[in-house]
Amino acid sequence: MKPIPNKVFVLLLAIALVISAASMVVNLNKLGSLAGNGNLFTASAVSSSVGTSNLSITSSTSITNNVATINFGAGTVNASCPVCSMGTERGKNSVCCVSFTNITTGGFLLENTGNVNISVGFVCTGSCSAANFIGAATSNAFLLFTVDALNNGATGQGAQTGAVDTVKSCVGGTQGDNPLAFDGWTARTNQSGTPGNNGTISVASTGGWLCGNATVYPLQADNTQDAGVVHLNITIDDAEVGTGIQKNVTFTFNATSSG
Amino acid sequence: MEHKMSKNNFILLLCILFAVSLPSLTALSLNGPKLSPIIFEPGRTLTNHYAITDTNKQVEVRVGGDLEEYIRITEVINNEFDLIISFPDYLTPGTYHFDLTAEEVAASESGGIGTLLSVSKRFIVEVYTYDKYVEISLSAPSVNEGTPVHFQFSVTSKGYKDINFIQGRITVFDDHNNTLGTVTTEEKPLKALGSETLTADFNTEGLLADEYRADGIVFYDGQQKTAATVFRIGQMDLLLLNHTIEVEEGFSEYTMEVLNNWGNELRNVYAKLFVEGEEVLQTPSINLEPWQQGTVGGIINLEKNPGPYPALIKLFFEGETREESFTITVIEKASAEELHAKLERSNRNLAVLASVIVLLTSSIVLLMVLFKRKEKRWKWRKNDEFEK
Repeated sequence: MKPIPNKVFVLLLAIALVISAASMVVNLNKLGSLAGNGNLFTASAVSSSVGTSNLSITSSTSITNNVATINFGAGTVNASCPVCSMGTERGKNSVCCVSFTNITTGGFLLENTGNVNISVGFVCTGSCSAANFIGAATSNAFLLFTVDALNNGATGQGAQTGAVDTVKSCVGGTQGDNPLAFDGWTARTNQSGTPGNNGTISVASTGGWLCGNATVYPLQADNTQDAGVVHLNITIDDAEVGTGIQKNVTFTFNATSSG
Repeated sequence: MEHKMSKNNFILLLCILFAVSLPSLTALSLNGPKLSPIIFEPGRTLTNHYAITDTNKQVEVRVGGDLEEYIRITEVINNEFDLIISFPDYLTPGTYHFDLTAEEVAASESGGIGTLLSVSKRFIVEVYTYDKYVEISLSAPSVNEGTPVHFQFSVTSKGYKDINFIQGRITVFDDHNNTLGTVTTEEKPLKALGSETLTADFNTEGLLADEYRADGIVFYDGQQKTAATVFRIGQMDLLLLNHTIEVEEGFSEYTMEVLNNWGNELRNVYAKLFVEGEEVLQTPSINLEPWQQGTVGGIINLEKNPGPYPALIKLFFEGETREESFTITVIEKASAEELHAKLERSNRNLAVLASVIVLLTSSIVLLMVLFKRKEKRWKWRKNDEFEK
């Protein structure tokens, strides 16, 4: 077999070089036409600049009260009853409570509308006791003016700013070694997770905590578990006589978060 | 025309009813970059900007808590302000807290039950030192009789230096300040700015149900810190703290205050009231947390003449019972009846007054009608005379 001469290799190399150069020209031309430029060879100027992006995440501590006023109106205790009991959770005893407004909107609906976890407490100003709000009665008359709190996942009161809760809210946080210090909304007069008398406390100017405390913030900002309902309960003895002056009570609900 | 007017009134009434039935909504937000926890740096000044939003009420801003003298807020302009912290050159090592609060101010007092909102941001300031320094706390759970008490120290280093060893010692005292025993915890090293727990069990065999005090000391590299706590030793017991002893004849409210006197939950707690051996009340049942106080009660109907009667309260809890005998006094329901009588009298007076007003008004209207008729007759007569 005759060996292939070097000239043939050189010729093949030259052909390959030409094909490669031609394909490069065609490709560049195609790119140029894509850019709307018909020139065969062009040089594109590249401009660049340095961009600075600032990202500042704001912590929003926010609370919304979706039911801001409750008015039981005026009325009397039916003479056939020892007491008239009414509240925002169960309405009024229609036989014993005469003419009073039957509250159907439910209690104060408090919602975490910020982007951080919060705790919720309250203080009271005005006629902040049963005797002051309902009026002084005979010595053994039975008067009650109390507050209790429930998570809105259970109550389902609706009318929330975000979606109506589907999960129990105010769960978690740590207090000492207890990893589940808070297990839902409950009215308390102290900082601990221990509820008041069955989760109900008497209205007083010192107020109380409803979810979490000054250092533990278990109410999440998540729309599925960010709300609770604060109910008011009033019991009026039949010995009670109104003073004719409408009493004023203001509850200030406070949301606390880490700063 | 008349039909149109009544339709308009109807629409107006509907609008008013709709407005009244609309649930009112209020909100308050305090927005600003997160700052806490703040590490103390001598002489450093920090400025953080805040905005108050979502409210149309007047808002008051204030700062409270530790380090108040080093913190100020600028004037609130368009609901925006700055929080300025100017640290001094030295602060005692430890953890400090302060709150920034924005609170709605009531415009005017109106009758009824109203609400306001406030929001607080709580800041933690950590002051560390280049020396060895710890903060400690001591905790002890309340336990049942015969169960050991598990003491626990929480030790946190506030210094930039490692501590070679920490150890705790706890001494228990009764309410007469007699020493009942001492226990010592394990030894541990503690890293700079780290936290550790030290534990020790105290045997309560032979100790009666009562409240006890524990004084603790933590030793660390030649220095020491103290802390104290109280705990209770209890037994399954429900105490009757208070109960109604005087009731009106007929229907009355009856309440009993009880205390769970042991370290576990008591379930199904209820009471029965017997008067002259006859059961007059069984209360609904409640659950009580450890050491929790509660109230059980209900409405009784005592159709008895005023006077004292032998009575008995039976408390039921976790299958156990406890009894307490006493004398219940039935009093006349005079005050209530008098008040009702007064109310009835005032109602009668009102009815009489209303009747008099109606009578007077009717008389005036009648007189006016008669006067008009007379006037018309007089005019007709005059016209007749003129035509003639």
